[in-house]
Amino acid sequence: MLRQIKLLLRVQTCNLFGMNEARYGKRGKQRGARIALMCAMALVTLVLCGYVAGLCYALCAIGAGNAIPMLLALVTGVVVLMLTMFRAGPVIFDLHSYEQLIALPLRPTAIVVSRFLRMYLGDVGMALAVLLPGTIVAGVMLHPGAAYCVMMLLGALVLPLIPMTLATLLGALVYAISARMRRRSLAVIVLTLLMTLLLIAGAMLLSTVNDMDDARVLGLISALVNRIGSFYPPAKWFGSCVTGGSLGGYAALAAGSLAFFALVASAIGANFHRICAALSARVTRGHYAMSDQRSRSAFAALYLRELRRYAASPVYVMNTLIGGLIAVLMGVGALVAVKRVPLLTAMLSEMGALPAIPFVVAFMFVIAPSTSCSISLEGKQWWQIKCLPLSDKQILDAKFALYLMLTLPCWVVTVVLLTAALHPSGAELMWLLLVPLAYILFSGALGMRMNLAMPSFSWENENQPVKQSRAVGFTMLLGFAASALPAAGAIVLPEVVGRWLPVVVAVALLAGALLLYRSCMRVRLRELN
Amino acid sequence: MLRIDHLNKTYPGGKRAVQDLSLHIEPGDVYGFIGHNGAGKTTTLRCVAGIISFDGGEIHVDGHSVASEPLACKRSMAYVPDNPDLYEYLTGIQYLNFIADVFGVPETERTAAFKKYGDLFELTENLGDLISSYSHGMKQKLTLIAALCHSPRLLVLDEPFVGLDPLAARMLKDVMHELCAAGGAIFFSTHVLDVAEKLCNKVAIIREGRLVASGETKALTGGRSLEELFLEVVEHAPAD
Repeated sequence: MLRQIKLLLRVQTCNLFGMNEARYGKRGKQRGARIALMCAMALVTLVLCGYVAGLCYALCAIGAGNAIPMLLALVTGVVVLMLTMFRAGPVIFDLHSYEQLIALPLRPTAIVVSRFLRMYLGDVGMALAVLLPGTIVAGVMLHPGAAYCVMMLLGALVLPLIPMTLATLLGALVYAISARMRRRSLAVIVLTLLMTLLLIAGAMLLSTVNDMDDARVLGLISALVNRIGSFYPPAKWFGSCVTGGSLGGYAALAAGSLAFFALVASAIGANFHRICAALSARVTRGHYAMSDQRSRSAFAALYLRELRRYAASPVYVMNTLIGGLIAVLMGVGALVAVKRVPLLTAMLSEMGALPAIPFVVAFMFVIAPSTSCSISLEGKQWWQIKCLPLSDKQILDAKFALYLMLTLPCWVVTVVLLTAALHPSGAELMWLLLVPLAYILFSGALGMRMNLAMPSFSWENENQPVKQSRAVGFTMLLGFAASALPAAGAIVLPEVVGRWLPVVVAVALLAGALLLYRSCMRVRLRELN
Repeated sequence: MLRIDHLNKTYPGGKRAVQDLSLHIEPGDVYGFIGHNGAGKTTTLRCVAGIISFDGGEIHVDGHSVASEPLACKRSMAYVPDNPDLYEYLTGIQYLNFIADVFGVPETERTAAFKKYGDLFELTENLGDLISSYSHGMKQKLTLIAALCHSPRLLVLDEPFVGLDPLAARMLKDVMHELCAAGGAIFFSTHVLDVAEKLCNKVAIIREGRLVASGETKALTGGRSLEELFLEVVEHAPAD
């Protein structure tokens, strides 16, 4: 079985980050695309490392360096859980390759374990991106000794196991519940969204501490650390082992994590064939009777098609809708926080954070607009739309219409909630309305232009165009820069920048959105292949 | 109905898929397009359907240029690919209504057309199911129904008989005759030379992107079978 696992793992990982295609791709454009994607992912990883290093530096500077192992363990757990939950189902129960593999003399458990290991490798990478910078900073500032550093780095192998296994169980549960439903994709979307929102809401609750009126930051961190320990014990155990130098405890944590993983992998392996058969079965009725049909305009038909396409893809929905939902949750969180801490608005104003709020809201909407992958998602059906008597404008406008349908309601609700929570002045309210709207319009147009410049129609699973394409990567990076830089400027120089920055940014973005939209309309869709 | 004049298509990387191809299809023609694998048949059909652009030459559908008046051309024709990748997230009837909406087919007409062709191809009962649950043949039938529901004047088909059961294949032939009798035309590619010989009044044979024979089927075959003609022409055609 080990040999089978090794063979399967080698085949699955040879094209990690598109390396195999970059190496053997004949067309210069394809190779260049893969290399660019790898560079973009490296850049995102660097940003994450920088953020973690900054956080650890701040903790060491205020004398809370002992909290680093536990906090980083929690961050690793949350990152792995959130990212793995979305992909666990499609990776473990990839039906397309299942049909190819199950006909071969391979044990189902070997297939399951190899897929788990593939996810695990990615999760170890994520864990390293969190733990390595933290370990370096702690090592330089705290001088904790070699055992501390070794245990922290080895945590990259141990810490992902529990959240990865848990995410797989949750993902499998969602798939199992939806397997018998006709509108399976819709069921997966609703269940996954509910779980994600519960997790985020839980994290927000976790971060509100009752004694917020205690200005002592160390006290706040101590209370947070206690809360983390009760919520996620493995983080507490890891922190204790690393700071206390307990090798025995560390080994027990590793063994326990491995045992949990092995138990779940065996259970899935033993039932793999049955689960995949249930997932691949299609619910049919076969008793349709023709009735009078209803007609719509061509644009309405296109828009409805876009909506149905959207609702049929859990990956598409989760990647593009979650930003708007988090913005709404932020608004809810602000309302709750203000009720608990009536002076919160004044505190934020004193800190100079209020001018940054429109940009923080905007950030939620710009990271993954649906337009950045809507062309690529046409995939192998791209021929269909090209041979119909539809203008390019109609086709693209339908995609824009879907994007606006997804973002504008979230924007309205978020603004209403934040207004109720923070009671902004007239000018502040205007920026709270206009700045996110300008970002929404800019981001939608930018995403579409990127996708038209870098379309990708040959994909095997939806993760590729939605999460791994150049268009999505560049849109995210540009959107991040466009919102993060003004937000930083508004906080750092509130008097100089804060007053006129929203005007400049909103006008620039609206103009940019118009230019990009016009540029999209000049692209000849027939030339895209 | 369809005029292709000196069509040239070269793919990125230098592969010349179609070279200086010319053929004319009149109303009432059932025109067979025959060639070996990779000869350029699908490329030609996709250029006619407006799915891919071409490097040189002209294509006119019902008097309109595919290059400069693509929408006008597409309104009067329908294209059915060899491997129909359809919208799996739609039901059959949703897909048909989408196509009918795009072509502006009135409600009563589309209902009648869906019923007629749905019953003809024995697919009506399955129209309420998701396309993802369809077999290859069912998807092929659905694509044909969608192509026929808006009464195209030109029907462009790529290997239409692949995946169809014998009854459906027979129905398709009848529909093709019916469309031609009403003044339309059919242009389709096939590897099944028997079908082409019986069905087509005109054929064109393509080899490595070049037309090597075209014209009335009976005049071309001259008493031989189409298979014999094809093998002779393909083997003895001048190399590039």
